[in-house]
Amino acid sequence: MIRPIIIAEYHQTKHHFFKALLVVGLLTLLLRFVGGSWGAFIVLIGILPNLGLSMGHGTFAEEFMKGQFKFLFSLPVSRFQIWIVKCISGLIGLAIFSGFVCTIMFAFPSEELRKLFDFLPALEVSPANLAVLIAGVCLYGFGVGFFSITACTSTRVAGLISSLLLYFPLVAFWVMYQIFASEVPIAAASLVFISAAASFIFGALILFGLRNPFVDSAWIRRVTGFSVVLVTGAVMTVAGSIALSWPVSYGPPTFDNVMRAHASHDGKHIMVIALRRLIQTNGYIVTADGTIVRDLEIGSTDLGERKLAWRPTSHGFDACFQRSEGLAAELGVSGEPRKELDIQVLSLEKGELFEIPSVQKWESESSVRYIGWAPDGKQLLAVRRTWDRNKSLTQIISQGIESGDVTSIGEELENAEPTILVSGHVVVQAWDDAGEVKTITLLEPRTNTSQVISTSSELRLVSFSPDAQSAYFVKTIYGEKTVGHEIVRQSLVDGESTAIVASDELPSASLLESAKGKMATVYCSMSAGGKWLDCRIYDHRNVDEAKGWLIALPSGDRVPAPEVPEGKVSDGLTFSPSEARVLHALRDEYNLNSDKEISDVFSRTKLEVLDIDTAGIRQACEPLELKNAYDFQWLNDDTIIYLSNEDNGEVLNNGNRLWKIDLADCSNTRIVPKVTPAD
Amino acid sequence: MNDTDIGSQRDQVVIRATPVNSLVISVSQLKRSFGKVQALCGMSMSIKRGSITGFLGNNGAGKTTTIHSLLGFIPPDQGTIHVLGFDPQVDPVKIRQRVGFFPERDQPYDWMTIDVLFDMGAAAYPTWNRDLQKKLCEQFSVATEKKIKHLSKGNVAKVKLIFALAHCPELLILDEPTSGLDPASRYELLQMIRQLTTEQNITTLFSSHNLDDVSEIATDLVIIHQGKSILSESVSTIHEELLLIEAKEWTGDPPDAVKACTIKSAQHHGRTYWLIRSQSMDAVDEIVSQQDGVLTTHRMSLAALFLFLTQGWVDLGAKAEVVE
Repeated sequence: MIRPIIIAEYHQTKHHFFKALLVVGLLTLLLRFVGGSWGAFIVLIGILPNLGLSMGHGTFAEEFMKGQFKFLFSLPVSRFQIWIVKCISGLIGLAIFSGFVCTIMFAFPSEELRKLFDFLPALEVSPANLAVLIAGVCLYGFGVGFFSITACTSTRVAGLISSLLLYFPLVAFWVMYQIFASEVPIAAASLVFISAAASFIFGALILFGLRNPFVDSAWIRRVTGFSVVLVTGAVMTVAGSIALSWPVSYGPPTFDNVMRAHASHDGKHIMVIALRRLIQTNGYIVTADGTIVRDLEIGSTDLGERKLAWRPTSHGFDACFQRSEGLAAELGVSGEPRKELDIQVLSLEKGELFEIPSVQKWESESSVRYIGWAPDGKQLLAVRRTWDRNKSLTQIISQGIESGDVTSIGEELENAEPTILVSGHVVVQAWDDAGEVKTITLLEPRTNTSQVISTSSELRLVSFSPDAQSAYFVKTIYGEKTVGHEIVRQSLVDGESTAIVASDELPSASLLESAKGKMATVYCSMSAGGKWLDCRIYDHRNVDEAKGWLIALPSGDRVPAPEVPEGKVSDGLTFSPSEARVLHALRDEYNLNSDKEISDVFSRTKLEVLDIDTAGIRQACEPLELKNAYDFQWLNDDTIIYLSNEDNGEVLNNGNRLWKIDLADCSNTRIVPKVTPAD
Repeated sequence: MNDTDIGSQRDQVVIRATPVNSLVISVSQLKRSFGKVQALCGMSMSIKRGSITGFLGNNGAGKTTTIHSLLGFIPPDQGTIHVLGFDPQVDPVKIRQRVGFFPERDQPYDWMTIDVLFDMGAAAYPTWNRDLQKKLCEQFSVATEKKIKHLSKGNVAKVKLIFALAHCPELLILDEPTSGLDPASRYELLQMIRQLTTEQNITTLFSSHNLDDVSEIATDLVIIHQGKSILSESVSTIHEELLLIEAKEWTGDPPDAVKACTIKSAQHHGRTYWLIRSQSMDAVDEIVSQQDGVLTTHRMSLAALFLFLTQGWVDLGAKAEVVE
């Protein structure tokens, strides 16, 4: 029997609803577009929480102020029904108002908004976390207002108390941020706000039950009730904060919840990113036997997720992530400039983590993307992208680690996408409007020299050698009657071209067949060390048979690639660091007619480890049948690491564990962390 | 003023024994205090089906507290209450569905139109009768598109009465319905109450401190004083069986025959008065004649009765009927 309350609530709400919405909207617009970043800040920290507070306060203000509870209570409805309708109505109103304000705030991206996030402590707040933060603050305001109005007879006193309660945690959060800086996780603060709001809303229910408008209870009871709920709320808030940052388990890390693992270049260390606490991610540098060399608190999970992209470098590992303005971009605002990068470097030898101090704001209105280290290990290479008349212009810049100098490398290139070689050389491929590669430029950052390699539709780049001394192409050969391919190496020193696989060794097609699209296609990729080309030849006349060759470089000797048995699909070949071995992961092919569960098909992996040289391919170990295993990486030539979310035949719900395959005895074992005494 | 409490003897007199199944309200030994103030201290009363009971008392006597207890708004400290067979603390919603309540001061949201108020009523009460609502609105010339805040006090009272009646309640409880109304509005409202409750055979309990209101429409009377009911009788009984005996220069106890049926005794301006209840006028006449010239009997108006019971005053006034 809540209909009468809903009717009353509906008419009560619509009474000043549109006027209030208009006022709030205009105020937000004014602050947003006239107040600059301060205005946007006031909207977030002033308008939104106060909206929540007003909604909470407004739930019962009229009834308590004008004594109309007596009228409501004289109807055949229960108190709880009245409370629940009022509470839900307030929350719906809050959602509408805050949604309206947020729409005005974020629908029109601008420089002010970008500056706002420079100003706010929420430097790395993601859209999801921002949504949680706003929801947390609004809900907290609502809880405080709702609680206060049910606790106090006077609506003015309720307003005063709720204002104090509202800003206390915000101030506390600000102080915490000032002291602990980025260690204060935004999402955690939001969750604490929400849990505090929940305790206040629950407290409001208790107080509402205690209050009787026909017999306004003695002030001592209300003060007692108020205090009890306030203390409960405070305890819940503190408990929530502790719970959110408490270690998932006591004692040493267990690697029960590994998110990522990266093998280092030195063949000895692994960077393990694992959940350490409920909301905290740690990075560990471990050796293959599990000894922890470095235990690094990365931060809360939301920060940790952004820092997962640690990758091995000659220095150890580095992680690069966008700062502040990334938020605006992630909100789906295209073209929003990003001008800052944070780069942290983790040293393997000392386990020392340091932030590149000289990485600073680039003052142009361009977005910046980090691509890697320059050959001297003292320069960072980044791509700065600008837009001119809808054309994307790419500029490669070098940032000196010690000097902080920013140097432009080469000219601005249109429609270009740079990548970096192991040697530190930058390869820039530029496309024309039709999507064809127009030019390939090889940049040497140390000497700031560039070399443009001619290309055409007949000459398709496979890769440069890691030392940037030569480039490998698939060349299309047009004969009198046939069309074929050859694989060519071009020296970048003297420009000499050599066919390492001649056209007669690769399938060809007649011009007529070619005109009908029935010709062979050759795709090659180069191993990271540059010792092998992995080439696949697809013959359109016989689409089911794809030949594969591994071509030794620079000799051009060929060995047949490992076969993919019928019913299996290959995840590709991964070469060991010395490239004397290769691992080949095969999964079952999913067949729609199969009665196997799709999860069962994709969870099974047959792992082949093969020795490879120009004489051929041989099994290094018997193939391993693994379940729920993925992300295979070579640590060194004798060890493979991988993640698995299965243990003793049981699928884990809480994450992955780290495993290794020891090729000396072809055994796989779990890597369990061993803690060494702290430095 | 001397107020002699007859105690248990009086209780025996004022609490009428009526069959349980005909009782709409049954209250026994109800106690309720607010802090140090004891609002009800042993309140007992019974209301029979079909009656229009005037609930009289001074300001602060406990009328509103009793009514709020009947509707389950206030939990009693002690005592038992049954309204239409339900305990208000156990089944308050069932009672409110069956009772039409006219609160004294509390009124619906002032921004509400009467139409919206009646929509709320229709949603709240399963027995809401739209035809009756329209009929009552026409009868009382209530324009339903108006907002509550734009209505006069008299019209607000009419709206509250329609709201209380349109769901065809078994029991109508009116808390000071004429309070603050001008004489014309008061008269009109009382006529409406009498007409409707009679037409629809609704048991009615209406509280008032206006004796004229009660005398106009009540069939029964409950007088509450200092948290206790001190009289619960039908109006006809009051007129026919209650007498005030006045004694000049009397000391000591009343005659035995008077003492046996005394409800309350008091001294006022040097004279002694006994309020008695007697079903036989002949017996009273005999006692009076035995005390030649000392005792006089009076018929009392409701006003005089109320003043005597609550204040111990004797003001027979122009309206009081005097029986020699």
